[in-house]
Formats: sequence, structure tokens, C-alpha cells
Amino acid sequence: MNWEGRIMLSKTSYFNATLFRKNLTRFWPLWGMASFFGAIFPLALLVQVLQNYRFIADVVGLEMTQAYYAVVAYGVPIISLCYAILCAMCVWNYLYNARSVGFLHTLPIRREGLFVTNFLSGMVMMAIPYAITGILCVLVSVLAGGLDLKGILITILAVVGESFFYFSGATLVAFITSNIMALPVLYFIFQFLAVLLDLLISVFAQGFFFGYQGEFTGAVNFLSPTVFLMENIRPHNVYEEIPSDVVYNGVQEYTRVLTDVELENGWLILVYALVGVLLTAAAWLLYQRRRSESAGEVVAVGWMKPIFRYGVSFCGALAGGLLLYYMFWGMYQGGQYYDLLPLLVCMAVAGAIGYYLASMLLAKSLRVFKGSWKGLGLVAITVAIVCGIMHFDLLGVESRVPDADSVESVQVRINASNHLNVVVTEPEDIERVREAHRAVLAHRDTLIYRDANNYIATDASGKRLYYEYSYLRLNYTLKSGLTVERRYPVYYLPEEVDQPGTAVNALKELYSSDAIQYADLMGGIDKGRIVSGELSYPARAIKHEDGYISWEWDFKSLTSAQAEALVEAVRKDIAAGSFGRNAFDNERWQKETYAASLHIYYKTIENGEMMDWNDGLDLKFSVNSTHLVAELERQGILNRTQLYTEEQVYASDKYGNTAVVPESAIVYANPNSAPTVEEIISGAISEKESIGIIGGADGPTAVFVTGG
Amino acid sequence: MIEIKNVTKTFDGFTALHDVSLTVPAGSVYGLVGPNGAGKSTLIRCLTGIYRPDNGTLKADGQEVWENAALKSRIAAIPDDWYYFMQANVRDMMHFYKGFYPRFSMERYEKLKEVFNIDEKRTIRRLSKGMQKQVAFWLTMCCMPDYLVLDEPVDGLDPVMRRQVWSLVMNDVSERGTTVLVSSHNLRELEDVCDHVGILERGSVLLERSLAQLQDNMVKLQVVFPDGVTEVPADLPVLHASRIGRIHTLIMRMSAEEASNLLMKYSPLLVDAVPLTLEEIFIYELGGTDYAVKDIVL
Repeated sequence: MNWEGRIMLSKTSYFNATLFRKNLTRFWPLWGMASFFGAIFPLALLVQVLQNYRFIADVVGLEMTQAYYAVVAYGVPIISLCYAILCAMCVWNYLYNARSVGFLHTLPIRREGLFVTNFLSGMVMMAIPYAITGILCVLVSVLAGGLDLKGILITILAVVGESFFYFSGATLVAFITSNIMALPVLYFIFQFLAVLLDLLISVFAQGFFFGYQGEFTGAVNFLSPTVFLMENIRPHNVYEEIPSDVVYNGVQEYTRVLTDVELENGWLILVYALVGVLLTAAAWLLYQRRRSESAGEVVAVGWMKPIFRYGVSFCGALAGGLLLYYMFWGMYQGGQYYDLLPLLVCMAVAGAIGYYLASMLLAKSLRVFKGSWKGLGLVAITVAIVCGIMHFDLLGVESRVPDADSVESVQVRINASNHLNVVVTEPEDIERVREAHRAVLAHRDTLIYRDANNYIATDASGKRLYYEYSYLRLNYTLKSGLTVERRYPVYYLPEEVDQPGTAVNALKELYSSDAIQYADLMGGIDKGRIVSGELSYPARAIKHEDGYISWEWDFKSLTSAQAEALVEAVRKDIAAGSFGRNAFDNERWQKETYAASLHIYYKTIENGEMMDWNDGLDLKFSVNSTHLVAELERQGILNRTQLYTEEQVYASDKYGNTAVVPESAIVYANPNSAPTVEEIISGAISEKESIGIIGGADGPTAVFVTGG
Repeated sequence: MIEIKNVTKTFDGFTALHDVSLTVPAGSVYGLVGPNGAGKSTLIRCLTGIYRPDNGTLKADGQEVWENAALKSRIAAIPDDWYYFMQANVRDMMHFYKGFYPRFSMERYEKLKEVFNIDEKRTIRRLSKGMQKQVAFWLTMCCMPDYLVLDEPVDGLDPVMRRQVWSLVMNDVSERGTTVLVSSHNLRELEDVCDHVGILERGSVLLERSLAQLQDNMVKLQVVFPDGVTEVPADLPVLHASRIGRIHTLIMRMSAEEASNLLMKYSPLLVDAVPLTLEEIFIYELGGTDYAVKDIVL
């Protein structure tokens, strides 16, 4: 028998069509299913178009682009994130089984060929559902009468870029591991590791550092692409106001017309796509060094095994340690700061669990205890060193007050009777803030103690007497672009407010300084143009039959000139130190501050251009604001007797507690309960008071008593 | 010719192959034998480009095998656990092989279809283990390889099919000059087909010779000593001795002629040389390294 076959030319190259076709035909259920779900989107668009029945070519095209960009911004990152790992699991799964890896590596094709062919197969599997969806979308656009080619092109590029990036990332992870179950787990861990660690480290640090904020900083979001892309990329609609046919009361009406849609920060996708090139190159380098015999191992790359073991161990110590600490210790303690020894024990235990777990995964065996004391010792020592560094603030995080020279601006927020929220930029103001910051830090131990035990004592009836509470929040923006954020809880005794050297006194000094008050109140207005104003004030107290008093408020609109004059009076009051007094003495603040509010509306001017919208300033003023009150009287808006304090207005909002409401402000809801003429004649009603009666022949419906 | 020189391969500190050197002459059938865990499959995986050795070279036709696609298109292998795609039938796998091996012969494929008589539309997963092995042979032989590497090739095949596949292989060797490296524990079968044998033991090559040399290097003699000589003389270099009645059976590591000459000084009444089977050679060669079958009393 002659077995000699037909001799053909070698088919070996960087791409093997047979393998490519095989991949696509083997895994068609995946991309077929994805295409099916993808087709739902154009179907929804079609229904929307048919319902709106608007076949205006220009607008429909742009509206379609809006929809595409919305999907690119908020849908594609999530879809590609999940779909990429499924595709990667399909095309790289041969690496995870000794039989399949042996079979593929025996074939006459170099690893370059396998890599390129499988990578392209995966990318095509990624692209098919998007392509089908895209084609259907274009058909819908055409049917609707609008086709925005620019929008479609940008959408295609964005989808291809994101798909490439995510598939590259999944491919890299596919070459780090050799276990099909570990692949998706590691992939999602890598995708979100940065933000999780950011949050975890912040939460961990806040238990050590007084004032440190355990919030998600977002500083490393760019390492978690899905979070970063969804935060930064968004569709931006550009509208143009076009004169309409309508002229109302002689005023030309305008119509807003969508003229363009942009993909804001779309260039980030290009950056990530370029990163995808690096990830692909890294995956290829790992493939070159990959041992076929590693099939089944959780970590296939030798030098990454210790990183994995200690990484899992330290993450376990951090996350698990905190969990154990709060479960067995923290829940039963006051305050947010750690007790060092229990924390160390919990972290060491959790670190050991992480260490053994990682070792078992690496060894694929439960027998990993022999000789593990060295690794465990290293974990325990590292945990102790880290906690020691944090506890003793060896890095100076807690004691840090940024150098004055390095500070660009500081946002100061102080909780007081009237909340302060101001951004200061002047060196002398920054110095004031730093001074208050240092003063608060100087009382660290006291403030921490009071935070954990925020009541002073228990009286005879068992009622707890609590400290007064305020806080100081500082957000420094440094010239380097970095930010330093601190939040200090300040519990204080009322007598400490005016006692120099106390934390609350430092806060009060900062709060009531003219410069800070001026910056808080006038900072915005000074950069804009006043357009109008309004005074809202409690006009009269309605006394109901059951004794309940409710206030009726009046509003007076102010012209820009009136508002300008009032603001000028406020400036004088600030200079005279009238604002910011008594903010930490709630009782005096209630007695002296008027319930009325002055609202000033202004337009901010930036770079010489006036903004479209109005900004506003809400002003609370007190009996000490003499210039402002005088100006209100001068303009005939209100006189002093028509201003009621917070105490007068709000203390009366309760049944039976009417003592602080001046009789002159009261209107009786039931005229029968008004003072009688005899009462007035007998002097029960002050002579200076005047009486107004509204009513008809059958008696008064309302009696106004004013003056007094 | 396949040349394996000083190949070492370790797995996480365990040395599976230690400085292994073998030569498989062109057109020969080389039997790779050894106890379980000796490193035979590891060596085969190195030779087929699955494993990369830590040291040493593996060449065929003077070219390195590792990442040599052109050379590998002339090498076909059947591992002990042949891989196929989960949903694939024979025809699907044929197309796949055809896409990789440029010399894949459809003519041979059609002819072997009659030999193996397996429904090519049937999913391979649903075939018996023996039938899957037949499919592996069917497709591998169609690749028209110059080098055929087989790991436990007839495991799971019935006796008739064993003969059939060996016949196919030997036909290729004789007609196309195919070089065959075969690893098997079935020494009886290897003896029939191999002309060279290499014995691996604990990752090292214990010996490597042609079968003729091997058989010539060890001899089994049936001897009857004169009256009064009941035990085998102590100065005789025997690997193994046994006795039934007056007939002593001696295994000696030397040629039959040398052994007969050595025995002459004891004036034996009868000396008869009997050829050793490969199995006996295997056992007695390894017996030197404590691999002899132990008499275990239970």
C-alpha cells in the first residue's frame, strides 16, 4: 500500500485560520447570546423612534448619537468588563488543562501563532455582538431619517478601544493564572483592587490618625478603569438658542436646538487602548516564559507566587483584621480610634488565615503548615511594624499641618449656630486656619477622649449631660495639586468658648475673625454683580384658640440698588465685628439673631464673562448688625420693631410656650379671644400699642395689636 | 534521526529527567521503557515541544524541536490521553489536523476510514476509550509524519486492533522510513516491533542499545552441573539463579559464548543458551537497581 500523500507547502505562520475558525465555531453560543442581547438596544431605539414619530433628520441623528454616547459612557465599560473575561475564558482555556495544552503545543505552530490567533479570535468574539448591534442601530437611524456619521464613527472607535483594553487585561490575567476558576476571580480583583485598597487603607488609617478622613480618596481610580471611565466619560450636548416665531409681550422667544453631541473625555479611551497594547505585550512575554506543566496552578508565573501569597496575607490582615477587630472589640468601645493590642492580635490572626489560604491555593493541598512559621513570622512582624508606624505617627500624618508656603487654598467648614463654609486663599487667612488647626491638634487627647465619651456626667434623674459639639473640617489644596483633608470633632463645655487656649476658643477666634467672616459672606459677591435681593421675615404670629402660635412670613423684593446698599451696610458690620459673634453660644445666638433672612442674588463674573445663572447669598443678621438694620430702616423696608429674634419666633412654635412672643406681633385667629376694650382701657394692653380691627357689622374677623 | 542530549527537566525542585541522552536512528523503531515515574512521558513531552527542558537539546534531523513549526509539521504524536474538542466528531478533528499539518493526506484518511470502521459523524466524546484511540491513530497517520512519537499507543485497544495499528506503523516505517519513538509497558509487543531500546530509570538512562545488542549482552543458560555440585559456584557472575531438580537456570550479563566458556571449568553435563525476552532483560537490568520482583510472603 502506498501511503505517500500530497506534499503541501508549510502552513505555519503567525496566524492559523483553522484555529481561528475553530474558536469561532466552538464558542458561537457565547457571542450568539451576546449578539441577541445586544440587538435589544436597537430594538428599543426603534420603538422609541416609532413612538415619537419624529423624522427630522438632523435632530434624530444627534439624538441617536446621544443614545450611543450614553451607552459608550455608562454601558460599554460594564458590558465589556464582563464580556471580555468570558471571551478570554473561552480562547485561553486550553492553557489550564494538561491534555489540551499538550495538544495545542504539539501542533506545528509557534506560540506566537497560537497567541496571535487566539487573541484575534477573542477580539472578534468581542466585536461581533457590538458589530451586529451597531449595524442594527445604523439601520434604525436610517429608518428614522437621521444618520450622524461622526457620532457613529466615534462610537465605533470608542467601543473597539474599550473592548481591546478589557480583553487585553483579561488576556494578561489569563497568563498570570493557570486555573479556569481563578481567572475571573483574579480578573475582577485586579480590576477593582486599586479602589478597594484605597478605601481599605483609608478606613484603616482613620482609626489611627486623629482627624484623618477614612473616605474613598479616588486618587488611584485610574487604576480601576471601569470606575474611572464611568466617572469621567459622559455625553455632552451642545445647544444653540434660535429665535422662534413667538414674540411674547414684545419679547423675542428663543428655542433651544441640539446642534452637537460630544463625548466628553473620550480621549481617555484612547489612553486605555494604548495601555491595552502594553498589557497585550506583557501577556505575550508571559506566554514565552510560560511552562505548559503549570496547567491548573492558581498562579502560573513563578516570581508572582510570593507576591500572591503575601498579597493575600496582607489584604487578609487588613480587611479581615478590621472585621475581627470590630466584631470582637471595636463594637463594644466608644470612639473611632483603635486599641492597639486587640487590633494587632486580630490582624495577625487574619493575616495568618490569608497566608495559609494563599499557600493552600498555590500548593493545591491542605498540607502547607510544615515550615510555614517563617512566612507567618514575616506577616506578624510586618503587621506589627505597620501598626507601630501608624500608632506612633512616625510618618507625621496626624500631626501634619501643611506649610503655609505650600498651601494654595483651604476650605474651612465649622459647625456652629450659623454654619461656616468658606474657601480662603489669602496668606494671612491661611495662617489663621493653620493656627486653629494646630490648636485643635494640641488638644488631641482631650478631644479623642470626649469623642469616645461624649457626655459629661449623669444627673440625679439619670439624664446624661452632654458636651456641646462642633467640628472643624479643613480641606487644603496644595500648590502641588494634592489635597489634605481633615475633620476634627470638637466637644466642649460652654465655659471653654471664651477661655483662651482651648480648642473651641481657637475655633471661635477663627470663626469670628473679620477676614473669615468677610470671606464667607462677601467672597462670592465681590466676584460678581448684584442683580436683586429679597428679605424674608416673620411678619405676624397667629395665635390659635388652643394656644398654638404659628408665624406668617412676608417677603420683600429688593432692587439691585437696594441690595447693593444693604450689602455695603453688611460690609461695615463685618468691619465692626458684628458678624460671627456668639456662634458657639447657642443661647445668646438665639436671643440676638433675627429670624429674618436677607437673600442677595448676584451673577458671578469669571474671566470677564458674566455667568448665565444667579448665585445667592443667605444672610442671617443680629441685633448687633447695626449698620444693616439702620439701612433697612433708612430704605423703609423694615424697622427694628418689626424684626423678631430666633428665640421669639422658634420658641413660640410650641403649644403653650408663648412667653417670648411679643404681644405686638400676635394676631388672634379667633377675634373673640382678642383683648377686650375694657382690657385695653384698664391698661392690660400697653398704651403704646395700637389696635387695628378688620371686620364687618357682625363683629371683627381679626384684631391686630401692634406697637408696644 | 532524533538526538536527545543531556536533557534535564525539573518540576518545582523535583528532577524528572536528569542529563538524559538518547539517539533514535532514522527509520528505526525505538522502544522507550522504564518503570512508572521513570520520566518517559516527560521526555516525550519535551520531544514534542510541550515542555521546555531546563538544559540540553532535543533535535530531529539536526534541528531543535522547540518552537520549530516547520520541523513539528513532520512530527506527529499520540499521547497516552489524546485530546479532542468536546463537541467535535472525527470529521471536525480531521479538518483541524488538516489545517495544521501541510502533508495531511485525505487519500489515506478515506482508506483508513474502512480500516477503523468508525462513524466519522459521531461525537468523539461518545466513543469508547479504545475507539478514541483508534481515531487518534487514524488522524495521526494521515499527517504523514517523518517522526512518530507514541506514548502507550495501544493501551485500550483490543488484540486485533493492536495488530492492525502496529501493522500500519510498521508499514510506514518500511515504506516511508518513518522514525518511531514508542513508550510502552507492554514489552512483549515492543519486542516484536522495536529494533532499539532505551531504559529510563528515575529520570536517567539506564541503558540504550539495539535489541540484538541487548539480547547479546545478557544470556539465560540452562545448566546441569556434575554430581556433587548442588549450588551455583560462588565465583560465577550471575544476575539471577533458580533451580528445578538438577537443572539450574542462570541469567548472566555477557554473551552466550562467554558464558559457556566460563562454565566449562566446572565441567557441566549440560549447557543450553535460551534467548531472553525483553521483559526478562528489563526486569534483570533493573534488578541491579533494586527493581527485581520481590518474593513477598503474605
